[in-house]
Amino acid sequence: MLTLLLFAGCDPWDFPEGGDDHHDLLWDPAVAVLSDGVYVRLGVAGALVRVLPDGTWSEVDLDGAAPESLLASPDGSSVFVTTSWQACEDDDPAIVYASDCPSSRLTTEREMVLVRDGERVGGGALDGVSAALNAAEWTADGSLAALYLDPDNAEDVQFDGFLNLNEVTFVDGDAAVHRVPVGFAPESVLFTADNRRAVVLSRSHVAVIDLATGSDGCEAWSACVTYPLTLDTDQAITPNDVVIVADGRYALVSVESSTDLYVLDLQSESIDLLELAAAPSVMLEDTANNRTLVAYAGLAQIDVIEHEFFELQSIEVEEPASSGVMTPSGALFYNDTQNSYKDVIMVDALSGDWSEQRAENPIIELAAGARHAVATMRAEAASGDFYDSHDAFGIFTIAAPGTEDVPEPVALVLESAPVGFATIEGDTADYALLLLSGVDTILKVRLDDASAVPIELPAPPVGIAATPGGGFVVVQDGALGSLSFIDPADDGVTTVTGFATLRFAETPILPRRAAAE
Amino acid sequence: MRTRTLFPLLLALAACESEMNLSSDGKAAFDSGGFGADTGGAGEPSDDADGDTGTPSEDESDYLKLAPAATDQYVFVANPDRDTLTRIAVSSLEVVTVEVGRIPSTVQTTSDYRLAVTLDEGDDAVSIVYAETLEVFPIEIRDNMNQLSLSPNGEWAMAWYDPNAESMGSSGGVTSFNEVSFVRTDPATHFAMAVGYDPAGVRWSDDGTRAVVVSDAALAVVELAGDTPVRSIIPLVEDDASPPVAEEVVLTPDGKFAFVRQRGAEDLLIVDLDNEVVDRVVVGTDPTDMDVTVDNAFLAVVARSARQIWSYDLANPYATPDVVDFPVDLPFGSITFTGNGERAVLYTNAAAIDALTIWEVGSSDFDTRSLVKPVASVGLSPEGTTALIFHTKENAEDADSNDPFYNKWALTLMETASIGENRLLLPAEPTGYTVTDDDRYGFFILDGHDLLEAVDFNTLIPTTVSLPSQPAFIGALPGHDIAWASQAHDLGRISFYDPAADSLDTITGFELNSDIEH
Repeated sequence: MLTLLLFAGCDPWDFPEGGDDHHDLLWDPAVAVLSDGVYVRLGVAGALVRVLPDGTWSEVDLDGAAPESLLASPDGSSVFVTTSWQACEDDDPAIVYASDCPSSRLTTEREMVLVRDGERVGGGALDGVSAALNAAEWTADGSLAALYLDPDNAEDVQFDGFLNLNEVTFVDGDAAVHRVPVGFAPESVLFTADNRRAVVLSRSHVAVIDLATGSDGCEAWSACVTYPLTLDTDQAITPNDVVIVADGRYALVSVESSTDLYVLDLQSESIDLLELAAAPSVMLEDTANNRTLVAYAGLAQIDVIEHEFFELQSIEVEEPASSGVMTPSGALFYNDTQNSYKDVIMVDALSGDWSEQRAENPIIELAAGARHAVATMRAEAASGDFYDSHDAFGIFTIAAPGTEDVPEPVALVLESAPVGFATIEGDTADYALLLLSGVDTILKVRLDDASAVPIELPAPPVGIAATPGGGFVVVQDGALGSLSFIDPADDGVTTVTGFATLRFAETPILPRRAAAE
Repeated sequence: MRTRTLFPLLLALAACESEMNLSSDGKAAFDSGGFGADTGGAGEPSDDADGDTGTPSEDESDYLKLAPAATDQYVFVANPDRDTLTRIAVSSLEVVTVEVGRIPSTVQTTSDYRLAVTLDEGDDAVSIVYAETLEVFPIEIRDNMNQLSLSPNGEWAMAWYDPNAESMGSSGGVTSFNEVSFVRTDPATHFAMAVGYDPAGVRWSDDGTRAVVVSDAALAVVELAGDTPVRSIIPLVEDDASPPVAEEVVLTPDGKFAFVRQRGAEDLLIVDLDNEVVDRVVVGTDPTDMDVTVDNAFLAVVARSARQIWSYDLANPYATPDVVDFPVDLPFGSITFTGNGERAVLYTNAAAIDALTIWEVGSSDFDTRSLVKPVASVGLSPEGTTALIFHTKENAEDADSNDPFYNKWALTLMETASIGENRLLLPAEPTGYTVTDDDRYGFFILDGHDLLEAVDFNTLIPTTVSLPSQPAFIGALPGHDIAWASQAHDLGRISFYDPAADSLDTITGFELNSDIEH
């Protein structure tokens, strides 16, 4: 029997982005995969359905509201759903449909709900939580989420009156809500490993929130300490990335277009600045060696920062890296932003040794496990070379620098563009499930020897995700709804279709009329 | 009181470390002595005429004015733009910032390392900060003071206004040229008083019970032992309309006598502070520097034009002084004693002379040494076994233009008791130096260069240490072989260098700590 582990991919939900593009469709392929089922937003019906592996589905009661977007917890325990419904300010009982209501009295209301086990947690909307919040960060155990407005994806955010951009809203598993002022425009939230504190990056400030218990001189659910990133009120410093290191003692914060790395001592509440060689593109914590590795998109150098004195050791490599991932053998860096850089670099943070492998084509996405890393790679349009002109899938062996007889990387030329992949790490072999555009099979690739077997699908796939139970969900191109559940133990496929026909052709009535009275 | 010209009388004389204008890390200052107002730029001979000789005064530079202040555990940095004081723990680099008054222009620490004191020019106040607890006790002083001095025991501080010094804040109120503010540090209490016109500084007795405020025309003697300071004023001249500049004042360790060297005067003033009597004693032509021997037995006065050292017996100062002629006909005008008291270095930075001489104290023996270049200033290790001779960029008159040191900055590391030396060509002008207490290491910094140089006094070998940015001030931690170098950075930067471990720790952005909200 296989012991199934997921590779640490950048995006566990490898589905198309949801949003307005799919409002006119019967269903939105940007599904939320939870342990209790797959939640699908039905655009025309204005409903949320839960699809189960046994082939059944059911509607989630949103009290007449229509789901607009889904934010699932990484552990698959629950999902935030922003909803809206139309309300008529005229109480005339003869008004049943939106078309009955005078347009001047017709309004759109919005709310945020938390859904688990097919129901709204607490039975209704989250009290005081704006439906405009479009980003969530969760604790590792899924017990607490921080909601805020992500300005990078805020073009379609709708709200009435005003939106307070100076706070983060925390919601726990029981739907208890805590709104905490943190400074203007929070852009990122991290939790310490013990879930006792949250670090919130906002414009020119970093706030540390004491969660739940409070501490000496600091109330629970408040910003106990706020660190400035500048002393010039006319200067706006935008945090770019943060890692919490050394068992939660320090937060390392990089900022946009700056070589400064802020070292925030969360224990002694002080600030130090490290001057880096360039603006970092990615920071990785190597917990085993108590070090942080920093790469630069424009500089062929990896810096290793130890966590006691924050001394910096620079490693010159051959190409800049824009992304990275920790593996048991070291930190793996690669470049997924510039076509000309194809090195996959493994760095040992302790010794400073490094090795490189070469991707044949520019990397789109890479995921790494204990023994292998796999990457989808794009065709190089300008190239007339057969290989370069095709999309590809690369397989790399994970090995510490200095390891002898490391197998060369394998590159598979693909029939069409990759639309997603998932990986399986077993006791005896590792596999990747690879989806190709327009191809109604999944390629199950054995990574040790690059052999592949097809798994038939009823329709071409558009996305794949792992389920918390160790299986996979493939979203397929089907107008009335099409999902397949794959059991990696036997490659069994269970397909569910037709769930998007719910209330097909029904005209929705105005909800919550009784409440209006 | 009386003013008269006398031959030397029985006096006890001052300790050598009672210089003016020294910061708490005063060991890094160049030479002892004067009040600084007459000094030119570091390393350049002053243009000031020195009395009737027509020769410039000796330049007694202090590179560390307005520097951070250190204790054996902490470095304190005043942040005048943020109205805060930052404490950096050297062992852990922990940074803690506290609010003090507006525009803290300077910080000093007491010799027992218990207190840090800031002069808050924007508030016309002094903040007394306990080093360990960082409790702050502010107290108002008189308006527009811009200078601060602490007594040796840390029990008193004096603030005054120096019109020649930069002021970082003005309350807009009355500016007095006669007032000073005395502050008792524990409990914080302020006493204002008027002293002589244009006070140049203060001298403290070793026990801190007496202060002497120096003006050109008068000394103000302030008794500090009682509940309230008691002041008396002793005129130094009969006509105070245009008094000669009091270039140097030395106080005896017990505070009973003061010695005043006036610019252009051909004698010294001896002031009996108890009896308010001013006497004059004869000295050689053109006295340009004076210092007390380490054993407090003699006051040595350099008579530059006479080419002589006049030594006054402090047990009987009115006795005929011992006069020793220079071994060569060179205008040495400055004297610095080694810490062990065995030797003194005589040199000049008022003329482009590429030589100095080392005097065996108490004898007529000299060891004259040629130098690669003229002298800008001289520093000594605490024991005085090693001298750091900082040279001018200017060349001696007969210098060979093919010499590698020609038109270059230079430093000579010189053993004072033997002939060992190391002549170093420098890429830029040195802007500060410091030495460790144990006579082991010296450190210096260079203008425009992101580095410090660490010198091992055992080997005379320097080591270059790269810094993240250009250093502004340098100092050493008392009791430790560790140097600190504060650097130019918008948000504050300081580095600590341990030469034994060859380790450099830098903390940057510590001024951000002042805006951390709790």
